[in-house]
Amino acid sequence: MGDYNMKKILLLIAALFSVSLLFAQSSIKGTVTDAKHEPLVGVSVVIKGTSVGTSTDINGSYQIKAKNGDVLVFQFLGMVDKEVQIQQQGNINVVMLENVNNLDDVVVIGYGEAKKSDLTGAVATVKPEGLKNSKIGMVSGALQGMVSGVQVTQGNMKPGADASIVIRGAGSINAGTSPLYIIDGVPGSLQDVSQVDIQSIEILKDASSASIYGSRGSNGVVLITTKRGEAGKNKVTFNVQAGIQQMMNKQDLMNAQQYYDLVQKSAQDYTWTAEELRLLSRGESTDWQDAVTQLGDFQNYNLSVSSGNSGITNYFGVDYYDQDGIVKNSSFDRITIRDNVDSKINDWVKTGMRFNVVESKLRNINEESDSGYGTMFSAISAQPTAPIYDSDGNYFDGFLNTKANPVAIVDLLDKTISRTKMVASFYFELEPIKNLVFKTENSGELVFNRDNEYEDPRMGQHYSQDGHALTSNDKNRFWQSENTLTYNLKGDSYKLSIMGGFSASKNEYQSTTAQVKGISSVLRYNNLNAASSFGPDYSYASASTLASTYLRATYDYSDRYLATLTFRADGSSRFAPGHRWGFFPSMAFAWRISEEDFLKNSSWVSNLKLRMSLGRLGNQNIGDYAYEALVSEGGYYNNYVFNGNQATGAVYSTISNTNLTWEKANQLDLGLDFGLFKNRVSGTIEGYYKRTTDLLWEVPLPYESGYLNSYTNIGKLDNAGIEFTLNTINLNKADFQWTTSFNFTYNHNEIKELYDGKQDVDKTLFVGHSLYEYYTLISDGIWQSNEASEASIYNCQPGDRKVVDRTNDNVINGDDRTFRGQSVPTWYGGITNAFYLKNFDLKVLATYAGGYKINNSLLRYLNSYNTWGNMSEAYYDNYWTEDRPSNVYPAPRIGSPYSNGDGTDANLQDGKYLRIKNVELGYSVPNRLLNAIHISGARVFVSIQNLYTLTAFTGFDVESSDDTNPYPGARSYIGGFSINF
Amino acid sequence: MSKIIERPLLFLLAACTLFSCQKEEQVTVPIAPIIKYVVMPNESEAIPGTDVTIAGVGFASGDSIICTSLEGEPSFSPEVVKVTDYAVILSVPKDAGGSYQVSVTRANLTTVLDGTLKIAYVIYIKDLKMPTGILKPGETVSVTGEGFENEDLVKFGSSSYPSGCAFTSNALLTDDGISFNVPQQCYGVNTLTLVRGKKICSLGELDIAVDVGDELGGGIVYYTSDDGVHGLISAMGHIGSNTEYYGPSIPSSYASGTSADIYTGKTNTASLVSKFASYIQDGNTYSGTTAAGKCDQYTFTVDTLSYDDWFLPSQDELIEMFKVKDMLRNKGVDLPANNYWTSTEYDYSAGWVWAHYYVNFYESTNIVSDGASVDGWTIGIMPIRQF
Repeated sequence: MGDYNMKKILLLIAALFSVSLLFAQSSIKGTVTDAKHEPLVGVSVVIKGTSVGTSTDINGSYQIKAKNGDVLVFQFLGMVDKEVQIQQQGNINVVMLENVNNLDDVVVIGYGEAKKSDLTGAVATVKPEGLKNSKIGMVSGALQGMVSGVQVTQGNMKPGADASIVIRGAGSINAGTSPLYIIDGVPGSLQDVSQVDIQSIEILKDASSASIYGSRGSNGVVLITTKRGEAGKNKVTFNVQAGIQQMMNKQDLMNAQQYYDLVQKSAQDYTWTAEELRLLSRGESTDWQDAVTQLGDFQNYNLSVSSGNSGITNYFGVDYYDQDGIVKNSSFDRITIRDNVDSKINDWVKTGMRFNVVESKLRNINEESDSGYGTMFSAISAQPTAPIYDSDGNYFDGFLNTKANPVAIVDLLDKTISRTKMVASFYFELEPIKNLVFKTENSGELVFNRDNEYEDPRMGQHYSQDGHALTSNDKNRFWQSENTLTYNLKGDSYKLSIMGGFSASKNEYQSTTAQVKGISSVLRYNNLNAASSFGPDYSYASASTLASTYLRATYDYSDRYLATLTFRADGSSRFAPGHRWGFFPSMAFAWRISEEDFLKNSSWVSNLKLRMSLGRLGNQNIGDYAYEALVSEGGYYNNYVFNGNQATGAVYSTISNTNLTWEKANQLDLGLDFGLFKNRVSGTIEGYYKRTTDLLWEVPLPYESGYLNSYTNIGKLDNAGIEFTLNTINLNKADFQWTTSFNFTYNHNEIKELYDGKQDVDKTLFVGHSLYEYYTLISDGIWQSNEASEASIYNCQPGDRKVVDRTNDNVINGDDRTFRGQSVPTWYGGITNAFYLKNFDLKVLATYAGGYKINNSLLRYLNSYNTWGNMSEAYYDNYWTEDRPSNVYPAPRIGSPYSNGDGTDANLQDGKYLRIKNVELGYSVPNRLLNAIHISGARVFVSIQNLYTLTAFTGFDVESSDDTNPYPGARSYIGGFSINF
Repeated sequence: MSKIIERPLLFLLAACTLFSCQKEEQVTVPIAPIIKYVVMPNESEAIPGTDVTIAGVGFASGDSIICTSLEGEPSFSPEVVKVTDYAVILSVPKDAGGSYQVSVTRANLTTVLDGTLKIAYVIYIKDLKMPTGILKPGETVSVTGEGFENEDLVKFGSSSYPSGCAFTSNALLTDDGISFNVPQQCYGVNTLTLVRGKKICSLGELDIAVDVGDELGGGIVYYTSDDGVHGLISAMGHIGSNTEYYGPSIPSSYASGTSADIYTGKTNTASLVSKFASYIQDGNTYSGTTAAGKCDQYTFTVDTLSYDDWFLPSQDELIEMFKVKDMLRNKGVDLPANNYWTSTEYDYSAGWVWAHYYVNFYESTNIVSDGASVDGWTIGIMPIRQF
């Protein structure tokens, strides 16, 4: 009874209290943080419709008196405004989302910076948050799905592998399609950058933004800016992440019993070895894919210290990355040390330096050379009847097609590429007169590579019987001086900025390679002179220089009309005297429509900008000395006998072409940037057209000339495309937010002109078609029993592959070929969804591509009778017989025409895919728990990479560039934490 | 293990996700051994009591082998001496013999090999030692060795005996082997075989000497060499009439290049018969048989043994007979005074084999031998044998 009364009293008190809350003003308090749960200082907090307000203190905390039903409006520069209605909370913690379309953001452009609102060209920015989607691999892979117009393909999942990046379609046939990477002003590669050190990545896609890099800009430019110390914000960050990798898409192959059965049924004259027959009778089977692979693992530790005051700031970062690959004994480890110092000597002099050392070691990647003998192809094709070891415990060595024992390869191959890179630069920035800034930035780089290889004779057939050792050293030395003068002039309604500069650089490369045979496994490459036979040995050296001047003028009239003119002149030693200078002009205009009176006060249009640019870019990647006639001296082909003695001969090996010049890309770009509903919806629609002319080409010469071919500038190649980017904030509640970023790119690639009026070159390149067009016969299933007479016209039998006779001349030949699609995606993109619920965050990145076909070259071995090795289980279960007809898998008849699909489209598979690249769940530990132990922020996360891929492709990895001997793709399970002090 | 200590976080994660990383357990179901490319040894290489090799791919150490007789003999399971990638080597017991089916059992699963293992029906004699020297018929021979048994027989065979003809002797066990007598009918170089039921054992060769005048081999020994181990036997009489042509005169392209030497009459005769057959095959005709042909076809039977390896003697062989003609006549040989053909061709350099040598048996001691026109003279034919 007493309990009952007590409950009634409590209920009454509670009811009274809540009623009073409905009418009385109460004190609302809380903290305001960003999505990383770092406190935001100085956020304006106002009761909507009133002037009552406050702002957050240094801990992001606020306190305001308001009544239920009031709406609190939170506003902060660079963040999307947030409104929260007061219901019954006494404590309202708010997370504010970054405005991805913040027009006040500073964007790095070539030789300078600009406010985003002032940009006229197509410049895409990737923030560090976006890069975090990729945990394993290099920074290049982290760009995948982030930016429209940037096609990133993780073509190889081997440890340490860079992804390939093509910006706005392949613009060259022979001079490379890789963009120019500039890291803090110095050309470099993404492999050498630690992801955590990156402040931002800017991708210059159009002619206007990239033309400041002139002769190197035709494939686009990727600018990487590393972090600097921030004055007054001392911060130590420690990140740890580690995980395991599991092979994806293991191929379903026949087991030993199935293989034996099929070989017995075929007419193959197979010589079984005793070891195979013993293994068969034991009922065993060797799974070579399992035998050479393992669960890969990786770990990554990163420590960064940012410190500074108003006079000097410093950023120090050290990063250790260690990955053991899916293929046994393959690994990559790297240590990166970076130090960036900036100091302000006085009001008009600033100086600073950048210093970066990278040391990496790549071990036992046997994938790229001679793919028919590489590890994975050997494992896939090795017969399952073969044991790993023979009964004496030695590696079994009786493989078809003289392949090596796959397990011996992974156990014994010793191949290490060690790389040491040092980059240093310093700058002085002087402002002797107000608004006139002179900056000189000088940098040097040294890169050393050492490649040590030892092939143990126990690896078996295909490898040297007595051991083969190779050691190779190379050194690359690069220096560069960039000097700019910038003048800014600002009037009431206009801003003018002119930047002019001069730069010079030199690259010197040298390498030596020595190799021996007959060397013991103890000495290996460490004492070559103990070998029994030597050579061939090589050495090589080359150098190139580049001198440039450039000029950029930007003009802004009343924040509405923007213009940029850019000009660069490059002089390159790679071209003949008299043809060394190339000129690369561009212009761009932008109209900020949203600043016009008729839109300025629009409630739903926050930003609208129309951009147009036009310009010319170049490509100087033709190799050193390509224009010169080169002389080969010595060797089998050049030596001759004189008076009975061998004399060293010399001969011109290439013909000179002193007119050789740049590949030129003329590009037109039209873009519309938009931001709607206070930038809750923002994005860009962009179209481009790029024509590359003067393509570098090895044109065949008449044999009378004495040369086979000559480098010539000839032909035209077009790329045209559409890019679409959309960022939305779907939900923005006080403690729950959901954002989406989506991008889509369509690119059309077409050869417009070849040389000598040719419509095709060797039936591989065709005018009017993509550079990557398939031109093959059409495979039309399998001849069936009731088609025997028709099949016999083509020397076929029921069960053989049916190839379409397009010319109806009763002969299958090259004339029956036709176009069967292209090998690179015509459309691709990515979609990122991020959810924030209280202290939890969930991110899902999916990438996709389509409009292309992949030649799954493994199928030529797996889906037809293969006398050289194993086949797929699907083939065993479904191959054609009279009683069990198939329209996919030919009968196991040796000598059956086009059986393996070579020359036909039988092995082309639709490359379309949608891949859930990253799913990441994070938890930020509440600050109240951390403050006591002097930690300002901590986050733990778990992530699954490559969780799921929707594709019709059946090979190891839909993104893999080598389908015969790929390094398998992997699904990764990762966890980690990050602590800030 | 060190990795586990080194990367605790990593393995904590791994534990959470391993459910999806477990490799499928391979299920192994043994099947009967597969043995390919099986080649059984020749019978001459499959001797009981020795190691016998069966070639084939797929044998494994630990295999058990069973040989099942196809001829009612006991089956046996030989010890496997060695297994290589290309063969299995078996220790065949001493008492094995005849045809066997071979099966291989591994993990309780059995495969029957292709083909039949034929083990020779042989007697295995250890440390066999035959006597050396020349023996006479009727003499006792002692052979040493281990493995002899009572009632073993010793068979005497020779290429000089009519086909299928062998003489036997009962062996008596001695302390270190056996002893037996040389049968009276034996002569020349003999091959001795020990016989025990179906089983045999080759003991080696034995030289048996005879004397001129001995009556054996279908005639009378009239010439010996090598201490009586080799020699010539005359027929018990000439063949045909006393007046036989040798045959037709034939072009020298059909000449046989015969010799006059001792022990060449046999090859002379074979060559003459062969060449004459070519002559006829080339379209020439002759109604009769040459003297060489008549000797080649001659058969003489004594005590059910048919001797059919007669030949026309060479010039020197017939001269040797001339020297002992009286002895032969005394032994009952029908050898009237006459001229006799030899198998030695006379000079045919003029293009025709027109004459053979003859030997004049009218003379008492003078040796008269010269050419006689093959189609002009009519004289006698006397066949002989050799051992």
